[in-house]
Amino acid sequence: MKRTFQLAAIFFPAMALMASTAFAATVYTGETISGKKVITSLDLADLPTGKHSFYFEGVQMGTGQHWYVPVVVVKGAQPGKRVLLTAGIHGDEISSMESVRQVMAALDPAAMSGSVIAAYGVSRASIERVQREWPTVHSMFNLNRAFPGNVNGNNPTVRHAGLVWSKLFQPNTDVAIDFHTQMNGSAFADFIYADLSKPEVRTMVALYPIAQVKNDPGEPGTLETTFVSAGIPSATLELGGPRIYDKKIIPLFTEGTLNVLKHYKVIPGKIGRTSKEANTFIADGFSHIRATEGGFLDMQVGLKDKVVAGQLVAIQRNAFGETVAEYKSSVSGEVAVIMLDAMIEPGGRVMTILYNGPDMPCPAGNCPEDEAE
Amino acid sequence: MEILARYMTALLFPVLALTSSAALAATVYTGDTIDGKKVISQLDVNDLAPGKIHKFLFEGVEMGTGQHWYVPVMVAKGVKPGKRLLLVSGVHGDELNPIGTVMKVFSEMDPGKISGAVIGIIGSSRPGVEHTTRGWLWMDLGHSQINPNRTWPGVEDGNTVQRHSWLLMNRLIKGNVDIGVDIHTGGNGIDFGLFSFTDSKDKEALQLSKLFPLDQIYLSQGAGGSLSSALVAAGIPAFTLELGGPRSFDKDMIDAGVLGVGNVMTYYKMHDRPMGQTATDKKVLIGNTLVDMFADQSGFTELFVKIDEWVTKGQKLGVQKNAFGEVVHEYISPVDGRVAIIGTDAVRERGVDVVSILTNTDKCKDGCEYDGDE
Repeated sequence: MKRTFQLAAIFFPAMALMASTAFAATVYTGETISGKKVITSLDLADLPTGKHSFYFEGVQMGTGQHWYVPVVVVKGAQPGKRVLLTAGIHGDEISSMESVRQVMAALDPAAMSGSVIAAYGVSRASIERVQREWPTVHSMFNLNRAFPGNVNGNNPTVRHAGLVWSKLFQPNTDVAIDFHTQMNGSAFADFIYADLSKPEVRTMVALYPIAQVKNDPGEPGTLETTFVSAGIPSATLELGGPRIYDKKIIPLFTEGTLNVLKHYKVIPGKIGRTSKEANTFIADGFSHIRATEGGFLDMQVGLKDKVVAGQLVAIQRNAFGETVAEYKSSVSGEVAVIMLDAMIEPGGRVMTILYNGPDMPCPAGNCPEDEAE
Repeated sequence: MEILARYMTALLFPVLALTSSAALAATVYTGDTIDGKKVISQLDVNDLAPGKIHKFLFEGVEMGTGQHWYVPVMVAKGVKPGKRLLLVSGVHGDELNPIGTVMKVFSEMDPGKISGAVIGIIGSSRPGVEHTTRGWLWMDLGHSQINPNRTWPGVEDGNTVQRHSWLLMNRLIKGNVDIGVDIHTGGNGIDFGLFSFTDSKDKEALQLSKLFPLDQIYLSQGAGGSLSSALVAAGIPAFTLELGGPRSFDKDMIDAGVLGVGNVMTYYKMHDRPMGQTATDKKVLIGNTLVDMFADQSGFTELFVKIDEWVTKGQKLGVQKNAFGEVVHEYISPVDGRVAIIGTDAVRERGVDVVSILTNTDKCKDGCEYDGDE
């Protein structure tokens, strides 16, 4: 008994030492790019109060040169929660980056308790091509199915996920908000995916003055789900459609995110508009309406419209103008996602209805794979 | 008087040196380093220490996010004055033998034993190289693939690819180069042998081409927008060297490229080494006409000839079948000549290259116009 105690006394300082060396310090490569310091690892504890800009050295390309991810840290004068804002996990989602920039611009480190980290355009390879997935020489990968990643994984995307997760995100985050939009060809409403079974997530999501929330446990491999599995509250925000700045939707998410920072007392101030004022529609079910034919779509409803079961929502015509399909909603709910492209291939998603109901095919988040997130 | 003259000289010399270096482009270091390499936005070979190989990342055009594409550049600066040779690889991103050639030239180079300088550009079309594609994907106009070898000498305020070419031409090449070799291969689906596109307007370009162990030299009018045409237009003898097929490293092709570079350096007295095998030793065919046989039908194509094979007019070169195995077309050589290019993909769409034959015709003694895919 005594012997065990002695061993512990010897081991404990040694373990603490090992832990502190194992714990990531901020690692500067000594390089600068366009005047910004390059880091391979971030430890917020190392940074003085103030605003810091870095390039995080991501995965290598085929030639051996790296993809660098712009990272901005605003560290407050007082200790507090560390909030991570990520945008551009998909490369065609541009409103997401602008909302994060607006939040960062509103921060004053002297008045802050805690820190906010912004990672802009995490999926560099796809941002440069304004496309959802990460193009490699032989294939394409969805970065938001690759988390927590693996630095020794079998494609560059999963390795990049492993680097940003283990060297940047996971060690520095108490609360994580992942900003998205719908992909090329379609649009979301102002919408959030979240696991409302987690009380802290529920509180956070209620601080956004937006139209719709879908409650589900999330898809494996998304950044949100990976954080939630690690015990860190997180949500996936969807700021409308791809490619553009949506000036109506961006401010709603900027306001909501500032509300979250106020809620956690990272910044001072009165909470603004929330889901209460926005009368947010919260539901568990997604009903995807998929094209049965190829052809041209004539939409009968728009985003956020309320629809009832049996309602005609879209008519599809062939090149001769003849009707080839009429799409009806099988549920009563609200339009959450809509196809923007006029032409659709068979199997493509015409629209998605967010709904609640006893006939729900996938109650409380046991839905089949949802590609939108 | 003598003292005064000396005094004047001492006074004037630094001023003159200052003026000339200010008038010339100086090497501009951005202050950035990436992967341990200094970033430059402008090169002046005169600034560099002799007897060394200098490695840089050249700051190319910006991407959509504002970050730059950086192009790896090596400069072997000799210990004596002499010709300055430019070797370019990766203007098309799916062409790897050129990259292997430039890398091997520099790995075997002893700058302490050369006169002049060798400048190597390793993979100029960075997005093309990263994606192993011939084109550079530009984000405007519905994501169009731009052929970088139709953008030279570049446009300062042009599209992304034109601007990248302009930066390379004006901040890296001009003022630093006396001779140029732009090294290529066939694109995805196309193989060349040891072949050159040589501009008939520049006599030194033909001499330069013959220093490589080529089997075929196509003496043509040059393709507008190609790097070699732009170099010739700028008074720099240059040609387009083709080293086989795309994507992989072909050791024989790379060795032929390295041998030719060595021969060029021997010819221009840049190093003291004997001349190796040249095109003349290989009984090169110098042709003035490249007859492209494009697919007249779509289907599955079987070729009966190989690169460099001599063919005669009327010879059956290949046959194309549909999915049912029925013959839809036979390709018959319209000329006597030598197989210069073959389509390697068995599936050939109507309009793509099946076989190209190099030959000579009377109608264009100085080389015909070529609008194919140099």
